[in-house]
Amino acid sequence: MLTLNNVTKNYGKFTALDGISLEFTGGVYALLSPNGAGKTTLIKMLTTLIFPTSGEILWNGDEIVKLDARYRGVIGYLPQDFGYYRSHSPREFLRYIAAVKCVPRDAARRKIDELIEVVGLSDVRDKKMRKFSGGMIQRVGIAQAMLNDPQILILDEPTAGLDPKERVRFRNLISSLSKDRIVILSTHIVSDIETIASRVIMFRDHKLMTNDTPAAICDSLAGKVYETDNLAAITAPYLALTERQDGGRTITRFACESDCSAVAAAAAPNLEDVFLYVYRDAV
Amino acid sequence: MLLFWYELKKLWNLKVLLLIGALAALAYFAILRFEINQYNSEHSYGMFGEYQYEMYTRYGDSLSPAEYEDFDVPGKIAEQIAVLDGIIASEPTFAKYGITCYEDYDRVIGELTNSYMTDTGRGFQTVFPPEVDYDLGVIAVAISYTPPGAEDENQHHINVPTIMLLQQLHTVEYYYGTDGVALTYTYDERPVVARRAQKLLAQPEKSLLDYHFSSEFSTYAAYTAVFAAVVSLLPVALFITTDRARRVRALQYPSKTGRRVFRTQFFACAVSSLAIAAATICASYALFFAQSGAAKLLGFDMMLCGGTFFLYNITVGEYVAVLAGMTAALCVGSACFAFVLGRFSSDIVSLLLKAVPVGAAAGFIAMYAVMHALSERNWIFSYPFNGRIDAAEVLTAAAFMLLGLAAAGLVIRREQRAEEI
Ligand SMILES: Nc1ncnc2c1ncn2[C@@H]1O[C@H](COP(=O)(O)OP(=O)(O)OP(=O)(O)O)[C@@H](O)[C@H]1O
Ligand SMILES: [Mg+2]
Repeated sequence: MLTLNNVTKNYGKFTALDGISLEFTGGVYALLSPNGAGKTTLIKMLTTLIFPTSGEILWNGDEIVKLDARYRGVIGYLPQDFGYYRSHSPREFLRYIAAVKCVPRDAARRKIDELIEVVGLSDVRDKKMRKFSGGMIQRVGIAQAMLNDPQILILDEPTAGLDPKERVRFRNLISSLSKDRIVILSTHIVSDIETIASRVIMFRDHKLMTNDTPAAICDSLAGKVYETDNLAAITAPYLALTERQDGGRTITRFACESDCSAVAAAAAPNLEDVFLYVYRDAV
Repeated sequence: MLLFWYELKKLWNLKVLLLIGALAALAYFAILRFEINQYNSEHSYGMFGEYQYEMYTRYGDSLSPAEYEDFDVPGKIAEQIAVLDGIIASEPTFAKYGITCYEDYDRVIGELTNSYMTDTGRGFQTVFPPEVDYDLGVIAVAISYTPPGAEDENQHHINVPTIMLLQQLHTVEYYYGTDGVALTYTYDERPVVARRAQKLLAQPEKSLLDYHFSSEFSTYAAYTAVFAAVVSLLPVALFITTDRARRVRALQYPSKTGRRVFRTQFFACAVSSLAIAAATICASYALFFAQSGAAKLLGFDMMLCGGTFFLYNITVGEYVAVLAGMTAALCVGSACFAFVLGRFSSDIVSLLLKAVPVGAAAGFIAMYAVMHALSERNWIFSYPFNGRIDAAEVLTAAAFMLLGLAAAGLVIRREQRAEEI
């Protein structure tokens, strides 16, 4: 179990995260927040790239920095903006990372072949990564994170820059990798996690705001989301959420505190609604 | 260990090898080859001419006072003067000016030059009347008579003008027959030099080492050291910066190896710089000794005070080893500084901006520490240290290395808790 106890991170005078307490036991945890909320900051602390200003992070009761290699040995990490050597082929690069992760040579060889297969890079496994598309690079990134068969898999915006088809592939891949481990992934794209996250964690004003299942989070807006093609008819104060086209009409989804069922159709709230609602005045 | 090999492999990538190969070719063709030729061509025209070589073939590495007697420099001087006397007797132009023998020659020419001094309004100048001018031309040609010669086993031309042979004999007399050189340095302002001169006065044996070997070879070795030190900088800095620029640190540090990878990389850099030093020294020194035939000098004592006033009693072989050691130290130091630079550069451009001054400094130290090392002419010994500290240039090279190691050590320690990677 991975535990954060009242963790605060300051960058100089700026507080990026303030008094965060969390527990990760198993399944997919989605850090869902807009840009600059502190997702990467949290993840960097979990990967020991940076250290909490105060508070503690424990793995099965022990401080992760003190655990040293024993902790780092159980994590796999895909950074936001994943870095790699352009002149390496996926296989070369994975071999190097396996060495960095102290995976024994033979085990590494088997694992690399297996992972290349899983992420679907068999055809290009010996091609230089220089010419790879963003999606291919992210797949190499996932493979390197999985090399040591981590108990904690940490992915920072794994779907950023991917096209919709790749996103779906990725979502399925992550879902399949989430058995028997903790997966912590950050995103500001709701659709990435709606179906796969077991819990969604949201920050606001650098503090923890929500840590709940997607269903429970959606429930918080139950009865407040409506759809209409005639926004002018809504008199109560409302918050416009999304728009879509339907047979030449523009249907607007909106959230309203008071009952609008007389003038608009009630809709079941989804995560995106909650996201837009919660961060309505965030820039 | 596996990781260490991977790091070495990353450091020694194809681009780096090609770059170093190109630089080595450039250094050889632009500088080193020229230096070797210089050493070879000076051989016959040095201030001792072939006499020193002749003494070496007769008496071995060093010359005792008895051997000097045996070589009979005064006799040889008399022989050459007799040749010149013969020339003077057979050319009537000499007689026209009252020159009957070599002894007259210098004196009369001097007087003649003085007597035609005229004030031209812009200072004094010697203006000979045309007929005197013509005669002096004839005299100059006659006195420069070159006896027909042959080539010796080393293909050094020995058909040197007689008048020059005479000069060379006088030089031999001064250097080997007297303590003139040691005496001039006895009052040197640099304590280490003066002490050495005192000591030499009590040392009757004199080395027959090629007089320009130490200056030529140490200059050659200095270029080699500059090359090696600058070349050590490049791959290391590129290697360390690449991991930062390519954001691979974010993969390495959270791994099981963790921040220890940085230390492993440092060892890879240190080992590589030693490899660069070893390869450069072997290749460069081998080229020098193979092409100059100086290998036979390795057992000689460096004590001879010829082109340089050498400050220690060591052999050529030991001297070569000292220069090689200095070069290796400079390479390691240079690699350490490159390591530090590489750590604090976020991309190749900012790296190069820092590498240029650091490379220049390393090159400067390499040049002035190794050139004329352990002799009175060494710049670092003479200027920053005023000749007060024994082997100051060797200590400087060592200090450069230790400073680099200390800096790298600090950076490695700092890295354990660094956040901005
Ligand atoms: N090294 C740093 N020094 C100072 N401020 C920083 C540093 N890193 C992050 N910040 C600030 O901390 C806040 C949180 O940044 P963080 O990168 O954690 O956000 P994020 O949620 O990952 O955003 P994004 O979705 O854009 O990746 C931001 O305001 C950012 O400007
Ligand atoms: Mg981020």
